[in-house]
Amino acid sequence: MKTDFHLTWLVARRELVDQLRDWRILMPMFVLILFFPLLMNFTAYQVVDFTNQYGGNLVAGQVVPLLLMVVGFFPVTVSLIVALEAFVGEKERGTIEPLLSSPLADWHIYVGKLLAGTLVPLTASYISMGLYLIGLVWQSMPFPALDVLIQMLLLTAVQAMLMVSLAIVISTQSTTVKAANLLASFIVLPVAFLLQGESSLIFWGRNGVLWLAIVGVALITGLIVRLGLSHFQRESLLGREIDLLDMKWVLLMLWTHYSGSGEAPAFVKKIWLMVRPKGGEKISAGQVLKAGLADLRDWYAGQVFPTLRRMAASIWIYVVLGVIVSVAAYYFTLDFLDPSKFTSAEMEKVLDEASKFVAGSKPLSEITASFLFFNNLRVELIMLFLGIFTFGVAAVLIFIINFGLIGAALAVTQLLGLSPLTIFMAGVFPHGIFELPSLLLVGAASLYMGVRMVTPSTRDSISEVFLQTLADWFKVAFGLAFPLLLIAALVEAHITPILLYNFLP
Amino acid sequence: MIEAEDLTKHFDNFKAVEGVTLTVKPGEVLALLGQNGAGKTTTVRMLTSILRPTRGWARVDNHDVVEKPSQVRASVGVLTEMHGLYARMTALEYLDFFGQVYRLDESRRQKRIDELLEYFGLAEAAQRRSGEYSKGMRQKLALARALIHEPPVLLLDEPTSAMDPESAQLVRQEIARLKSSQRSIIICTHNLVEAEMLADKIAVIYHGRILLQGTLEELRLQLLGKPEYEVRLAGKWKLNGLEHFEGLCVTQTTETGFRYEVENPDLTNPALLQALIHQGAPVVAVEQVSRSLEHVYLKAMSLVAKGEL
Repeated sequence: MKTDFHLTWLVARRELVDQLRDWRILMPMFVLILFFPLLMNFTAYQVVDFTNQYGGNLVAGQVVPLLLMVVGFFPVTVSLIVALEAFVGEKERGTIEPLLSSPLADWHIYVGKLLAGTLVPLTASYISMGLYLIGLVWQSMPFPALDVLIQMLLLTAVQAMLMVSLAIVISTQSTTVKAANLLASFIVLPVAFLLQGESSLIFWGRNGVLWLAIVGVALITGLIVRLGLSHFQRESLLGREIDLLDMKWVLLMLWTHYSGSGEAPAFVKKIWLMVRPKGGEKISAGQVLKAGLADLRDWYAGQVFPTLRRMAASIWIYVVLGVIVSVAAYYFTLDFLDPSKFTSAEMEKVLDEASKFVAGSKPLSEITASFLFFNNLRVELIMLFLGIFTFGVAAVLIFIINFGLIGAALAVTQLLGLSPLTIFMAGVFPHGIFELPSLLLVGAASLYMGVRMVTPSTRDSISEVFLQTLADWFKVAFGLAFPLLLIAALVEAHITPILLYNFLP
Repeated sequence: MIEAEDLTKHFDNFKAVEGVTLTVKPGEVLALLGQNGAGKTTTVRMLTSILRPTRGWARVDNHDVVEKPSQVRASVGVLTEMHGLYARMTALEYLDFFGQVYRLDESRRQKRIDELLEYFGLAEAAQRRSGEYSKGMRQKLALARALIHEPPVLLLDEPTSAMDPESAQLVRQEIARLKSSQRSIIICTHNLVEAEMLADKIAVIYHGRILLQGTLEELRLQLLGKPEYEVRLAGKWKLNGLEHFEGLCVTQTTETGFRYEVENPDLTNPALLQALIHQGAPVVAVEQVSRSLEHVYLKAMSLVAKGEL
């Protein structure tokens, strides 16, 4: 293993030497290291001075770490330039083939380039941040607390690694440096959103949440590295010469995996024959219906249920998580809202907030089946969308929140002196028996998609795996989750209120 | 040893290589000839375990290219179509890097680097960055990289391209030396003279398929027929009695000579020469008509164009 890491370091060191001999990388780095901290020191001094005049000490205190993050971020952007061309640049220059023909393992090359892409910009960031901190001392400005300092250093590191890991994936999947640069917006945009979120957290002093953000970004980075490594193929690096967005291929691939055949369903063919009869053959509506039912039966048997079997592990993870989270939320809420812990004034405040929340929510008359259906459908589509970008992690979070809310709501009913079991059976169970499995299935499909994406595959490319698992998601959604959601919405709108009305005291 | 059977590579619907079967024993050189895009590079990439065959199998130094890619790559020295040098590295750094990649210990690495730089005449330029090298020097450095770990198998794509005649001669000598030290070598080249000089076997690849394979003599016989001889005379002369020579068939006559094919040249040619001299013919030369690899290759291509091969 020692020898193995030596080879990774060998690849990284060669790249580092190459970077340090290129003035086009060094020059902007020097400028950013030397001048940017000075500019930020000046800005910090002006802001602190200005806000102090109006008693805004709290604001001043938050500006210093915010600017520390900004100082650290700018040199990190150079990592994009290096990492984006890590593989595709070598391909263009013709230097990749001797490397790929060597006995180096895939991970030696991949991780070596990852390290090389991160180390120089990150070192430059830390030097820059150091100079900024020296400037603070020099100007007798408030120095950030140690935990905030550690957070900023870690945040800079995870951001650098996130950008480099994304850039390396793009570099392995692109055919030219130009194409890789064009795809850089897929890095810049999410990182810009991330920075905005982090800035808000720093500014509002939500250090606890910032720790979670650091862990979250590190986790996503790890999964992206795993994704890149899983789909790193020497063959595709040298085999592909052009990349075109072939929508026909995309749609055909999706349809083939969704339908299992790639052909039009039999009932569609029958409808076509009904509209345009061939050779005097007449097709009745009954025949179309019969063909449609047969298609549906075959599709469930051949596609939907086998897909569920493939997702069994993800489904079990969701079931276990759902049970744990709802039970934990129930006991946590019971403890958290224990009346003996509150003074009467605090209790009044909590009730006041609760009544405001209730007053602000939609009137019962407006909660129709279609409102409920589309609301839940939106949640499931958000689970898919966020799941794609977070390898299913965000979908798990949305699921956990929903199950946590059920546990918490039951605890509140108990605190209000009602029977949680009665409320559950009358207010949650009738529609929950349909809605919760629906949520669970789409969540599990999103997790399955993420797991498949980071599972090594020598046969399928990233885009192929993505389209296959997206088709799986649609199979589960259209075959089971959405119909369940429709039933749940009808029950929740028309049956649950009656039951609650009859069972609530 | 290189063995391949039914080696095939398809990229979606494009058939880059189709059913290639070949064997290169230790101490043998195979020249892989073909037009640009014929499938030479794809074949070499499959033999270095970069491309995964769609069908068929190959073993390099007794390692399967699909099952044991690491061992295959460790046994092969590859000279790629593009030299693939890092322009900001010196020759010393470059060879040292690849020496480490091939896990040579420091003393062996140093010894090999010195030997190769000396042999290829790059010792004086060893501290210069390869970006400053001429094309020929780059090619020599790339070849040195391919040889650094003394691999039992060599796959060389245009080994002497861009080289001056002296350097090309040097490289050819090195290939001959490697051949004599029991290496299995495949050379992909458009330089037919070089292929003729170095190769024990020739394979002509066209549209991914091997059209012809064998020794040069076998290919000559297959494509150009029996050897042809030419008699050149100093002036006009009326030849008599040629029909008495068994197995001799005149293919072309001119005022100052003729060409002929013969069943048994070892017996017939001395007798024919004796007869001509006896008749007082002013013989300038009796020689075999040139049947170079170029003739063989061009003949093959013309047959392909006519759809006869």
